Amino acid sequence: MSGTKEELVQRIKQLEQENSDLQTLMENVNDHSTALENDLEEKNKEINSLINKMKHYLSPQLYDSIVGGTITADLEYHRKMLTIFFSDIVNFTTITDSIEPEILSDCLNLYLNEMSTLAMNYGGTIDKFIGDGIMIFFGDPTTRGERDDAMACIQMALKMQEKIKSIRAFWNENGVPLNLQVRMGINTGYCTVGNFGSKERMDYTIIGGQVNIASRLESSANPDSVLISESTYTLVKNAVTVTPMAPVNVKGIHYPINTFEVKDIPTEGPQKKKIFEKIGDGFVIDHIIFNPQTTGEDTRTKIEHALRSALSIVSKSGKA
Amino acid sequence: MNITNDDFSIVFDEAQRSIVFKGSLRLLNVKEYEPVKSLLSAAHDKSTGQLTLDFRDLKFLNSSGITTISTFVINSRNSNKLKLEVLGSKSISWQEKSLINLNKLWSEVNVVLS
Repeated sequence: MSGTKEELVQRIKQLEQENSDLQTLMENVNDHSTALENDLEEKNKEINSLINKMKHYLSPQLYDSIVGGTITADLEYHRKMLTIFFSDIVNFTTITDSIEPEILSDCLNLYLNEMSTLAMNYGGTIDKFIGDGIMIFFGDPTTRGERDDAMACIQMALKMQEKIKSIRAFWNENGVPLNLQVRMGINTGYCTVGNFGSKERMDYTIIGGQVNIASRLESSANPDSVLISESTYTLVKNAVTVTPMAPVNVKGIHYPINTFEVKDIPTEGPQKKKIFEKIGDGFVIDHIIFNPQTTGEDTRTKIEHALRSALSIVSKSGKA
Repeated sequence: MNITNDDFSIVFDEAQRSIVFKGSLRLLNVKEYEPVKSLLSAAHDKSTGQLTLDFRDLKFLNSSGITTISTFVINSRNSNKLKLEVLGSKSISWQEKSLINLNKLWSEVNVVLS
């Protein structure tokens, strides 16, 4: 080593200053990184909050596809075999005139909520609500195959009709004179599916003649029934019992559409009426006849389950 | 002596003796910041009395960026040729913490947050 003592002392001081600068610099960079990370975390929270809000406006399948990145927000579309479902409340206009708007809004939301839950349970993509009408399709963004998509749609429709009876009883019991009856129409065929609209405001929806046929079937259906086209029936004829109905004509389609009213799905067994049916925050409970000597174990279990569920709801409502 | 691209701009105003940063500065590493370092150094050489670093419109600055700015503050302190003024925005969260921290490197840096 060379240099005078003064020079060495000077050099040591210089090195100490550099060391101190480096330490401060490191701390500053750490603080800066932490500030950015915290900022990022806040932004992530905001994004998640917005995504959660957006979730309520989309079907689960569509939501998963958008968030998962399999669907882009571009004006793109493709052709796909879909089963399309339409439903509409019979004489809804008359109903709107006879009931207070607040009560009607509550009833309509309860009805749409119950129907949406069933649509989601059966894997349907809820396209849109058109007032009291519902448009659902099966087969996109995910498909289980044409037959299974059609079958799921019919199963959903029958379940909806079953639920509607319970909702009707629930409303009538609560003093709402609303004779809820719903028409349903189902058709299967190639549709154009994708984003339609403008770059600023687009809808992920389906269009095409097959959509119009499903809508027409719904308007031709009897109240409380499900009317399907021959193309849907062909896919499910081994599994579904139907009654042939009169063909219907659809504007723009140059041949009559053969139609069938769905009765039941024999492989699922007879549609046994449920003892207990949850409706919104309440429930409907059917006549229960219990005889310790004659009631079988299966019925006894169902009664027990129904009473427990009913008691739980009544008890919670009392505490609220 | 300015740097301008789609993401950010750094403009030296010799008359005002100020460097204005805008946009989002996220270059890959410290080495990538060499042109920024050169601009700071040249602006320092050309200025007298005081030099202002205006970050009020800089939305984002990554860690390599703050290292470059901090090193410039250290070099300015060591040369002690002119005073430094740093302008920041309270509405941009990283600025509130990181710009005040420059005082730890040189207590005479005048940090003004608005």
